[in-house]
Amino acid sequence: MALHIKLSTTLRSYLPDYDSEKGLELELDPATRVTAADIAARLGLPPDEIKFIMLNGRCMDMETPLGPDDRLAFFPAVGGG
Amino acid sequence: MARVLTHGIWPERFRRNYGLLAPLTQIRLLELPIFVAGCGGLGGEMAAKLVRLGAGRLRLCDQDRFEESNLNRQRFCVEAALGQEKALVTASALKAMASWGDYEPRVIRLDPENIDGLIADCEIVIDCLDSVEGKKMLEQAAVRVGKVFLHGAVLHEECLAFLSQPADGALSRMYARESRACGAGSVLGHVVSGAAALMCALFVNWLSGRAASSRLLHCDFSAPGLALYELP
Repeated sequence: MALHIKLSTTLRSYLPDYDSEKGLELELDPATRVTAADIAARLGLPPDEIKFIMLNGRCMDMETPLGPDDRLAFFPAVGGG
Repeated sequence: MARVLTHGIWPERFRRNYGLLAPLTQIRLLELPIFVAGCGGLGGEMAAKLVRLGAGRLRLCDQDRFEESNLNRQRFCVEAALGQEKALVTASALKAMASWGDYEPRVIRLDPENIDGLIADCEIVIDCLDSVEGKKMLEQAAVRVGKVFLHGAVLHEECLAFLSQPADGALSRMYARESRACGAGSVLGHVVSGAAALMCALFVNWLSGRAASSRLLHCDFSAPGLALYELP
């Protein structure tokens, strides 16, 4: 199954080849049961740097199971003014 | 100016708002008490935009002084102002823009003890602070006192913005995983300007009584692209 991943700001430093316009496309075995936390671990994103995620346009929990063609965005603390 | 507007006469300084703001909206803006938390990047840009739009009553709150590192993005940071208090410099600059307005600077650090009192007589609280912890504290005060809350945040080449009417704790729910976070760092000047423009758009929609979008705006200027998310 395909997953469409976006990383915000400081989280991009963990994937040096990250394309800000296209994001990241992951192809997983359809039988694989994964959560956002699993994907973060797979990408090498430190869990304590992820402050919220948006799954298909909604703020969700890191343990929410993912499905085919899900759009997942990881955010760190964005607090500048 | 409110009097002439009620007769359909637009002051020259607002003539370019004509047709885009209703007369009653323009009048309301002249007297609307607005609280701006932070007079740095976002705060300076927001204050300038609001005053040019016609805002006549701003309370500007910031404890800091301008530093050289502010020069890349903070509207009212000029070399001659380095070392001066941001709230005072901002209020003075706004007065030069619109001498008729009331722009109250408060050189003060916001904390849980003083914040409710500072926002009590304002109708909208605009979050231009520079830490997630501070932003959450501000939102919680807006929830307690029942104010409209306009959030903005910038980092690197991205920004976030939303408006809640009234404040309902969305930011605190969004950052439920973190209690003491800064979230500030490198940021480009155009990102700050763009964030303020988005925030101002949300403000105008609210002021004009248009159907309020309670969604989170996320603009990635490096792409560039704009995404909308449902708030928690």
